Amino acid sequence: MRAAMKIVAGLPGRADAGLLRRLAEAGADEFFLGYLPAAWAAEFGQEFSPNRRYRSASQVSTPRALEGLCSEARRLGRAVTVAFNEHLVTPAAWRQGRRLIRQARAAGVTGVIVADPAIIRMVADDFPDLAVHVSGDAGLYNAAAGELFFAQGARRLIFPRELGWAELRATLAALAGPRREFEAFIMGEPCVYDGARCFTEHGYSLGRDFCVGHSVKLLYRLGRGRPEPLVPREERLWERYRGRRPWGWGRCGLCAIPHLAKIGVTHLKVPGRSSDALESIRLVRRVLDAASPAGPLARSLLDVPELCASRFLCYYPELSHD
Amino acid sequence: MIELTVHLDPPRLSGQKRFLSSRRLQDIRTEGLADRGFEARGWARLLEALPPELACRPVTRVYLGSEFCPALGVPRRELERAVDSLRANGLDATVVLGPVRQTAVGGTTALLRRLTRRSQALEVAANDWGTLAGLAELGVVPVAGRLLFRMKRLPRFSAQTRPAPRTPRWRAVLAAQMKELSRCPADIPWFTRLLRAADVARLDTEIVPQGVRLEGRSPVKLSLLLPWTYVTGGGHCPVSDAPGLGQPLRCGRACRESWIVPRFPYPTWPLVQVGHTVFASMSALLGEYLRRRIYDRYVLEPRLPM
Repeated sequence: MRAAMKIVAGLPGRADAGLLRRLAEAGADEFFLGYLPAAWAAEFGQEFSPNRRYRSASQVSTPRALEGLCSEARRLGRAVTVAFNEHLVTPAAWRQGRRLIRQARAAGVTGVIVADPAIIRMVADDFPDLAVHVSGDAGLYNAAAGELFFAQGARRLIFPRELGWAELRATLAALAGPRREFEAFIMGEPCVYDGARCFTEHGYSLGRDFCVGHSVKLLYRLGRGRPEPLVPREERLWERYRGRRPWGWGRCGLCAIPHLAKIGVTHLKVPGRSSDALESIRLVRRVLDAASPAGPLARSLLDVPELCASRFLCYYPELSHD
Repeated sequence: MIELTVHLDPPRLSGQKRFLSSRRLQDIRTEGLADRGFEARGWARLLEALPPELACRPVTRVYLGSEFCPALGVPRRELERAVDSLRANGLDATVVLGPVRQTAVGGTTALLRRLTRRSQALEVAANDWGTLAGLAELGVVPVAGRLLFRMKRLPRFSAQTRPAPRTPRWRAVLAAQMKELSRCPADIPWFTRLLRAADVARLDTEIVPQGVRLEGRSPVKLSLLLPWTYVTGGGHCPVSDAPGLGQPLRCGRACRESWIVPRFPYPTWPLVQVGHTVFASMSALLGEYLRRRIYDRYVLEPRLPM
């Protein structure tokens, strides 16, 4: 299909030039990362974060490391954006945040991802040379929100991962225009809850976070007799395929790539700040560059027929068999 | 003067005839709440905690609708009947909307236009920025709903999860975390500027355990929802009757008869998950919050809007 969309990949805190290079070779066109410098950590610790990640493993933490990543990205012709995407930015956070963004810009970052709509204008005014990307966690549920964010100075809107195909298509039909960029999730780590309305955090120890430790598998319907488990059949399938999912443990939208290109999605997001995005990026690149139809190719690459048939993992289940 | 309001489910309004005519909190029927017993207990504790002079004041307004689950949207005729019924009994209405997705924008706009013809000065609590921005044009009074009150819920502080030597530096960082995590958006200039641009004069807020701190006077009025605090949620609901997680809207409303009590591996507040939405009970903090003078409206919830 050879779509012209670009792949945007998240970088974990431990990322170095080697990892960035491997991700670029796999097909990543752009990168984003979390940056929590010493000055921020000294004042607020990790628990009051600039970017919705609350563990050091998800944060690049020194200007030198950031410069190294940006320098390698520049050498490869790739852009790097920094996440400053807390739901609510307080005055003290903005004071430190401006320093953080200045440092990031000096290191070579070319854009900022924000989720508090109230600061889009401030970032755009204070850093006119940086592109403002509005995070999926801002809550872009309709075109009116998109127009509001563009009017504040956004260049790119990232759709929340929970938006379905019909909603995405309808929103984009009302928003598309020149010099406007749109990013949609395509593969990778899922969220149990919706990011724009999830007000708790990822700070607790891995595997015991609110959303990970407390799984849907615990849900029971309370009837007259014994509690009846509400575990969907697909959840059991998911467990059965554990270890056989080369792209990790996330959701997948490979079949939908041609449709996304057609409606005007310009960038495909593969999160990776807290996971390994390499295999996902390879898969997305294979489908993007292939001349053959996306659906059959995607299903053959994934090789998990029962999971594909169940559509349990699909970002856009209504497109999954095209 | 604090305005006393309640958040009710329109389908249950017909069973509240006594309350509608007296407008007294004590006349709100709670028998139907026994099917999810945790709510009846929360309601009883709330009534006990209210200062007596407030508890006997007439209710002036009713919030209608669910902001959390698209499958619990109120059918148009039912909502119109509820608004009519409130008006006939001298009560004002606030229609609560969840985040309105693009495919539902047309229907929502038409609904609000119809409702404004039935009720002057109808309030609408929007829970997404796009809808909020367009409310004033529709002739309704815009309110920023609780999903736009995006203070952190159940934040982790160093003190809770990372035992460390309690050095002066550790204390200073903890104090800074507490200070920022308790900062209320209602007097943050850029946040209120965005609200003013949409002609919004009210923000619906909740109890957050870390406290709510204003550094100045809030230019917007603040409501306080009691006794539940929303924590997290999502549209892909595992309780739905759908044959998979991807089709949340084919819903048999199983959440009306099921819930779970999440066991969180760290000390936290009592939690309950209804459908795919998690709430924390804030009964223990009612006294503290009811003494705060920053609110001019309480929104009492006999039942979770789920």
